[in-house]
Amino acid sequence: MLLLRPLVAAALLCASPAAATTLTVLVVDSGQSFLIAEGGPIESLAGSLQLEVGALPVGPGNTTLDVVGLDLHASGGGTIVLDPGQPSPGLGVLASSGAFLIPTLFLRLSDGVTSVDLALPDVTGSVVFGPGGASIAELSTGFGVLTPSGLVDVTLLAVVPEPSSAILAAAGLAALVRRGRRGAKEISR
Amino acid sequence: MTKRSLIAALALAGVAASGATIASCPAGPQVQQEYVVRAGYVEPHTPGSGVAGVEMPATTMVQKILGPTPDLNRVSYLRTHLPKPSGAPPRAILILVPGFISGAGPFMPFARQLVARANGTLEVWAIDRRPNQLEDARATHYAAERFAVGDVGGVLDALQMLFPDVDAPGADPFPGAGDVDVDGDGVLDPPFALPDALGGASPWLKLGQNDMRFGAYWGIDTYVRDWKLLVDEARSVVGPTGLVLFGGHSMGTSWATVFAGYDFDPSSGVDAAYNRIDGLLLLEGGGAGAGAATKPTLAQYQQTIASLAATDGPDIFLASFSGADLAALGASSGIAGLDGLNRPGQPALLQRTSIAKTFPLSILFGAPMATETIAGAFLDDDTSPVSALAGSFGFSDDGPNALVPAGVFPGAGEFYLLTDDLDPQTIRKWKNFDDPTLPSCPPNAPEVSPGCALRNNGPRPLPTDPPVQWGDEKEVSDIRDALGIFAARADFIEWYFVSGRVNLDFQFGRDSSALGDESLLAVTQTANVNVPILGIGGSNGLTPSERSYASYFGAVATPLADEEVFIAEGYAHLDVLTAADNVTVPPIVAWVNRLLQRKLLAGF
Repeated sequence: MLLLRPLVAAALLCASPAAATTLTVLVVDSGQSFLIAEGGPIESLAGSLQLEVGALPVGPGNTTLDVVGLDLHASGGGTIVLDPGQPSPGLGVLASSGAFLIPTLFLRLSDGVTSVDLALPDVTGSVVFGPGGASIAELSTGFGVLTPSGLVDVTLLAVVPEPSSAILAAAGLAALVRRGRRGAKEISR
Repeated sequence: MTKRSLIAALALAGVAASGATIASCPAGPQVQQEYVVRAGYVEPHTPGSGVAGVEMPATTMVQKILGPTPDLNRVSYLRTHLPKPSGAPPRAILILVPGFISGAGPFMPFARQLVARANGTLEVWAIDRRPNQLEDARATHYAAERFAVGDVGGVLDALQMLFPDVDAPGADPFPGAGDVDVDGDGVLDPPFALPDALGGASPWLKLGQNDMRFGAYWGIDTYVRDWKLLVDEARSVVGPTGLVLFGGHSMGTSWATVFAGYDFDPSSGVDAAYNRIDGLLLLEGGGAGAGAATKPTLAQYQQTIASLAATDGPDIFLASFSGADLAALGASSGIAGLDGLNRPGQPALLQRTSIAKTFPLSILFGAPMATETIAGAFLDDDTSPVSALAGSFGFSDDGPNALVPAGVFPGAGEFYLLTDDLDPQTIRKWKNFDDPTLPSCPPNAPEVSPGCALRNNGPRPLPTDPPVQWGDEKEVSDIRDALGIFAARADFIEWYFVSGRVNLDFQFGRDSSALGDESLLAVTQTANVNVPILGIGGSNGLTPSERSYASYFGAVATPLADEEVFIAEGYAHLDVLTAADNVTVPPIVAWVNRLLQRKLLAGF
């Protein structure tokens, strides 16, 4: 049995207020984000993720919460990104309560030599909204992966970057957008 | 554990995850396929309905197959799923209808990949139509048992059950010219018999038309009511915020679209099927068309049904296709599949039998062939005379190939005939799809043996152009998967395609309003269908462009933004189901994810 590890996150809102959707970049807090493989050492996680939120504040119904960019680095050298071979790899929904659900999150894990694509079902977590619900202030999530060697537990904490790191976050955002566009598959009418 | 070892473990095990809790699953999840038979719609005339004065009796032949009191109101499907470690149900179920004279079998590779890709979020239920239950598959089961213990002689007995020795007319001793001696023992053997459902022993039980007169009432109405039960069952699994998707392959898209447009309320009300589903997936078929130019009147329709139901009436099921006995083809494919899986590279046992020595297979299988070659010659887009059955499974270039022009055989397109090099020591071998030496044109010339597996079919047509095949052909389907499909419980070929009533019904195409009696046929809601639709075609298949779907898109109320098409370049008709690394899977999973997200906006 794997326990979900609750996480606390902070978020950076960096979107045009006129846009129909809101782009949010979250920077991972390495101090509170980690990967634990059963019987192995704790590896810290760093990096960023990018969310696209349908409508803020969230109304009486739910809104879309799409993970459109993910770039995680484990201290052991591994990386976790969105699966570039899967269009729309991180589609989810966000409730006004702050709870979210991503029915299937498609990831690619790599150690720099070998990579494996995996789909995580039923990824849940929650966000804390900023003032007036117009932004996302915190996000928390976690998931587990079962292997023959045991359980691998991933806990992720993303925080609003300090001003000095906002520039890095913006650069990361640009890179993620480029990557996401390259990975998109054509579906035409 | 280091990251490297973590990834190695993942690659070995597959993965599973949950945001909440997950159960221990040390071996990792595996995609599972199981055959499900359940109660179907109770069609009153069908044996087992229990409707006094209406129920038709089962013949002795049917009883020998299914027992003394068979209930034929059943529906079956191949369920492909991957249990979530959390035990939670899937969020989406895709129900698929096979095409013309086909069954659930060809969906197997496609379903496995879809389910694996979605990692438990999606299940696939591939339907076998009702007549599947009437197939006497004892010979295949017996052959499987014999193969399991290495008893090839027992396998020959199974073949003898289906295709007994033939002593051709003539004065020569057996075996002589034109004779068939399946086991090569020099003796004219009788049909091999096995225990049947009435407690006796019988040879292969092949239905005659009069064994299935109740099939006069197995038309669209009966089939869609079977499938409504599956849709309702799927809804009970995924719940109101989950997805129930419906679709089909080839002619199965016609079935799927008449389902979507069906009104299950035979009175003045409307109970439209499309309101029960969340989307339509049309695989290599453009959906139901407008039907015949002149449609039957109600009186003509009723008269045709009465004729079909009468002893010695018109044919209930399609007995042959392009001259080939369909039941014999279906029965033999099972053993051919087992033969290929158990004796790769060896001479095909099926070639010892009368079916392989009788037109049209005697032409197709004229050269001595290995077990994989006989499957490839039948299925491959380069060697099959029937494009609707074709996929890209590789090629055979170790002997002379003759390019047969289109039209030489009725209804056949251009194809390569694998011919005999007259060396009795050699058999034609098959190069699988991933063989790096598969021949292409250029540098080869199509008309010069051995010809080519790979060609370029020209530039992609514009979305508004008439559909034509285009692009670089690809070899993507594994002949070993085809052999597995042949040998599976689910049908590769539907032995008894109920053509009589079905052909009558499909004369109305996607709108049967003109018939005027919704208790008989009620495809009346097509114009109101408003669910998202995804069309998947192959550039070397039957629906090679966006235009292939234009007719159906123009007939429904689905918003333009929800009418999507994905064309897989180089894929032939079967490849969208059988490709080993299927490029249609990611866009289909993405489509499912988008629809699921839309549904979950209402609550989760």
